[in-house]
Amino acid sequence: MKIPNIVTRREFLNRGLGIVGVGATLPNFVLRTAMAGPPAGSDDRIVVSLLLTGGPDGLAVVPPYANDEYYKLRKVLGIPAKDVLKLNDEVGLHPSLKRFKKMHDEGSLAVVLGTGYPGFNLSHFRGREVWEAGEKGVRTGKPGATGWLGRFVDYSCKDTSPTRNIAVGPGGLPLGLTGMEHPGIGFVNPDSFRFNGSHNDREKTLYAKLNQMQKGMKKDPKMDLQFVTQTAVNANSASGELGELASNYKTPIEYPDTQFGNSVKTIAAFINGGLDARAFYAAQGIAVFGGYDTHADQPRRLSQLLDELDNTVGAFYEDLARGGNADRVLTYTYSEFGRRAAENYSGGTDHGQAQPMFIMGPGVKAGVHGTQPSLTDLDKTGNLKSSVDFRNVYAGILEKWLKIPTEKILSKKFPQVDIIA
Amino acid sequence: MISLGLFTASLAQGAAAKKKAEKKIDPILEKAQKVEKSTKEVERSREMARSATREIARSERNRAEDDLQKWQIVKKSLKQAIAEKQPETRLAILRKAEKDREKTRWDTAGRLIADTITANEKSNELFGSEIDLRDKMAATRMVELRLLENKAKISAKCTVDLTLQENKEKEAKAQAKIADALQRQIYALEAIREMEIREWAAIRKDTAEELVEQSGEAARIAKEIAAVDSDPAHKKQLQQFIKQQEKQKADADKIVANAIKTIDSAVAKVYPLRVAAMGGLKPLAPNKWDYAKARHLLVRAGFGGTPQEVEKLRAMGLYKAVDYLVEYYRQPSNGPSLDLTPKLMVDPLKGKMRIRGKGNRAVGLDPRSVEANQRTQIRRWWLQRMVESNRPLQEKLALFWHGHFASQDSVVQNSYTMLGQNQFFRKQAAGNFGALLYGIVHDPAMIRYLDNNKNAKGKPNENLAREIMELFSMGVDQGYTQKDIVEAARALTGYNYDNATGTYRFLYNQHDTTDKTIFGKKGPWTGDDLVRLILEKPETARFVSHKLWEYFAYEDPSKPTTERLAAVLRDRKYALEPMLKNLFLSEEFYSSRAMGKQIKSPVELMVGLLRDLGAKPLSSPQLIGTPLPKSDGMRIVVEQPLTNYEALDTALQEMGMQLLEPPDVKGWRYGRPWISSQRMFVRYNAVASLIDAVGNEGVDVVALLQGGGCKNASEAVDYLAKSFLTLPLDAEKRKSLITHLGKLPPCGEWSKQRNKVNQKLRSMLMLMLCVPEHQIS
Repeated sequence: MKIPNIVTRREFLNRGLGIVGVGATLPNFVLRTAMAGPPAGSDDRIVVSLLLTGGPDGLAVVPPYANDEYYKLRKVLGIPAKDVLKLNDEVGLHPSLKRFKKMHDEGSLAVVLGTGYPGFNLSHFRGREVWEAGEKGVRTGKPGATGWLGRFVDYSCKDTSPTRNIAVGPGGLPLGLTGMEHPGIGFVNPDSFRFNGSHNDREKTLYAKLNQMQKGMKKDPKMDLQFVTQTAVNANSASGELGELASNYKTPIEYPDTQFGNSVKTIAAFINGGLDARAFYAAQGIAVFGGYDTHADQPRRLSQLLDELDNTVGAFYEDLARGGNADRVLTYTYSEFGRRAAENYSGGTDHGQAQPMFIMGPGVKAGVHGTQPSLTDLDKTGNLKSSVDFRNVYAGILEKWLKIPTEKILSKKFPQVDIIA
Repeated sequence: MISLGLFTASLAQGAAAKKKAEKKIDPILEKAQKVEKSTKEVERSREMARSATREIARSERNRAEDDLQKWQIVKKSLKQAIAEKQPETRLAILRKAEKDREKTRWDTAGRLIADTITANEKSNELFGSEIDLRDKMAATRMVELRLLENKAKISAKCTVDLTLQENKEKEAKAQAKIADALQRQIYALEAIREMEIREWAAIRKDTAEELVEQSGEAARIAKEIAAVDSDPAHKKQLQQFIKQQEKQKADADKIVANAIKTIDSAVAKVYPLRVAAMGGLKPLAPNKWDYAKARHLLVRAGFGGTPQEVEKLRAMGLYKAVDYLVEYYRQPSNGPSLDLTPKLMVDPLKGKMRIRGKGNRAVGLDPRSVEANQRTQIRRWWLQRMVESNRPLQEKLALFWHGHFASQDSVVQNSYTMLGQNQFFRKQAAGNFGALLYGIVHDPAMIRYLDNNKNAKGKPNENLAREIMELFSMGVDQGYTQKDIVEAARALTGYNYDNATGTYRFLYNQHDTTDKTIFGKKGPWTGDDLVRLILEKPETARFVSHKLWEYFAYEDPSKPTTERLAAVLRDRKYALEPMLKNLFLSEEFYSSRAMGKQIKSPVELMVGLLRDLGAKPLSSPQLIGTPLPKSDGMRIVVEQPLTNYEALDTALQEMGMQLLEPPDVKGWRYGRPWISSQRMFVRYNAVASLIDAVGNEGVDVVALLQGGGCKNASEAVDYLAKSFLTLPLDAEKRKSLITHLGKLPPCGEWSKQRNKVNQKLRSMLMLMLCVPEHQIS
């Protein structure tokens, strides 16, 4: 059963007008949408991106348990074959990923082994930018910089609705979600997502007036004042609806009570609440001591993080299924890079290349895709050689899931990994 | 000259042409040497003359004082005589006094006249020789300049010859390089010439000032004598002398004034020339200096300030204003002391604060909560420093280095070492980049943060080695390879810290003493060597300059801008002060690309607002921290906002800028990443609640306006916009704010109706600051 969302929208419209008292403050799309009845395209497909901050150790997350070389490289950190949750005869999942295993068995989890890109970068920051932009050389926060999901939203949504792309959780807006026409919204919690300065209607009215797009301001997204003003306009117009959806959300499904768990729960609230968003983002490990960057003390930290990930994503899909929305949501995980093939001497692993990607949702072609990079044929710095360009995975999502020609979003056509059912 | 050597070495074909040309130079060289020799001689005699004059002046003054004392004795005798009742004794005293007086008076006057005339003659002589000498020195410089120019011509000709034979592009580049180097040499010489002019003027000023003093003194004494001397002949003579001395003094005064003018004009010429010689950024013309630029400087090189503070900088002029901010060590250090933190915990400066320490448990405190409390206190303490310090640039730079050499306290888990790191950044803020880099590889917090305590011989850990190149010195993929990182990690083995004391410790048995090859150089390098090798790389000065420019001026500077700044940094061996001066003096820093084009970071927004409000430390110091922040939803309940750094700290955290807790080792990303729809609200709400809650009743806007002499609503709006906004409000927004304010009582009534007027003004000010324009400066 889908939750009817027209009520929310009407409420929003009424309340919105009540608050500001000036019709012009609301962007036209809100008026249009509300007057046109239920929003068109509420069956639109959604992409949720989950950043696993820090570069998880692929060989521990998806251990190639059947290969003796694995245990030679990982004398201390190797996951014993008996503990591995086996996906096939070669690889399986880290013992913490029990619900992932269940999703795999039920046909809604795919893993692509050995993803990476040529000329890889082992900087946390550059690595993340490459993955989010879908190309090299794009810098977060520079005027005009966009990410692949931002471009997808720009391409698919020919309106200026501010709620099409939303990052939930602290840490600001990621490059991946940033579009030209859709700068995106960063949402932490409902209480802080509204202006609390006004004491009376006079102040509210003037506040709204002072935060409108200036008349005669040239449309130039490279101009910082316009960028800030646009952000304020979007924030004010989305404030009521997002706040309401997030704070009124009730679900029997239990999420881990962590920052990441709560962020993903809020995403479920938005989707089940019928918001028009097409792309979401949440990051795991941002506030947890370097996240997956386990240069030392890896087993304990990795288990903790994977437990949280497993339970969060598991709860998310149960919750979406409850709202009748699981079918239209595809979730994938990514990180800035993988880790070195051999373990280091501090009980951890150093930055390396090639990482497994998880693609989840009832729409995926479940199973193991791609090929496990060789554990003996390493590059000269001791790194695995990636076997799949990560943009081939994006291409699979774009062409099959979103039905968009890859070259419209990425720099060129890429071969597709066949991950969509 | 360096480039000349380099160039001639590569010129086999051009050698003949060069020899021929050099022949022409020889006579000029000879002449130059001659001039120099005679210059030196004159210089010596000038020195002697000058010290002689000084000697005379000094002994003359001593004698005059001596005489004055004698005169006092006479006066004393006279008084005694008047007081004496016995007529005979009185007569005796008077007779003696009469005798003394006669003697003293003529001794003094006679000597004064003779000596002063001698001194005057000497001074005149000196002035003459000075001018002569100056001309000679100037001639030397001119000869040197001509020499250089000739050499440049020869080189250029050789280059042209070569160009015909070889690759044109390559040679054109070489030629440009040589021309540039020569041009810089010429600038350097011109700077020297200007400095010499300044020197001479200073000497002249000194001498003339002495003369002023001397003549004044002589005239004064002569007047005193004349007042008591009854002989008309003496009187006439003295009057003449006084007149002469006064004229002398007036003439000397004129010389002093002229010398000051000469000095000022030379000083104004020297800096641009010296900067040009270093290849630095072109300075702004001092006559372009105005209020808007002074505010821009105060906002960027500090955190802003009241219109009165801006006006003070404007009045100083460009050069003195920049010196005032950059040479901050001339201001006394102020700001809160950490002693003001609640005594719940062990004194952080005593180094006993460790999370696993037994000390705290012994006194019944949970180490974790003590540690958490401790780090909160440090954050608030620092915020208060930023608001109150009279060295704002020092705090702004400490913040820069904290973001540049970023460590997170949540990882380090030791606030004592974090405080040590913070003090180190403050100490070296405008010090030397080399010292900073050296300090950071020995910094316990950084060693812990980047796992170097686990970096040991045979078990290298690359974390610190990578970030030191990627983020701290050269920039990602600039001038190093993965191989260099692996080798550098070995150089850094054994760089550890002692957990018990929180201080640096070198573990020799964990240090890898074998050879490493870093940047192609092989040797048994240590971490200290690594710092040296990094400082030798040209990428380092470039990267640091680029980052500092982005922090203070604008994003993505052109290559030449960065390169010019880097040239100053290299020229001064990584000393930061000259480079910062060059930055803040540069024309480019005041260009339209820089002014009003920076999105405020959260600290700049909030500390800036408090500074613009003129927040002052309370006269009676209070505890910085109070128990847990009270929070009513998102609205921060501020009780004593100017001391409630707790609320400020919380607000900054929500805006994405918690001190001691940058997001990762790359530090904070400045510019657009500060802005998101979520953060717009946090920024607005924090500003609004601060305006509402400063003092128990909110900001006293009436007091602010009285400083600006405002009389009505539109003047109030304009004055507050001038105080708080860099970007102009458009006409419509301005109008609606004036309308919102409505009619105010006559300004004479404001103090009487303070609460009522303040309420109206505060509502308007709150709305004026919750606009996109206030996010940019």
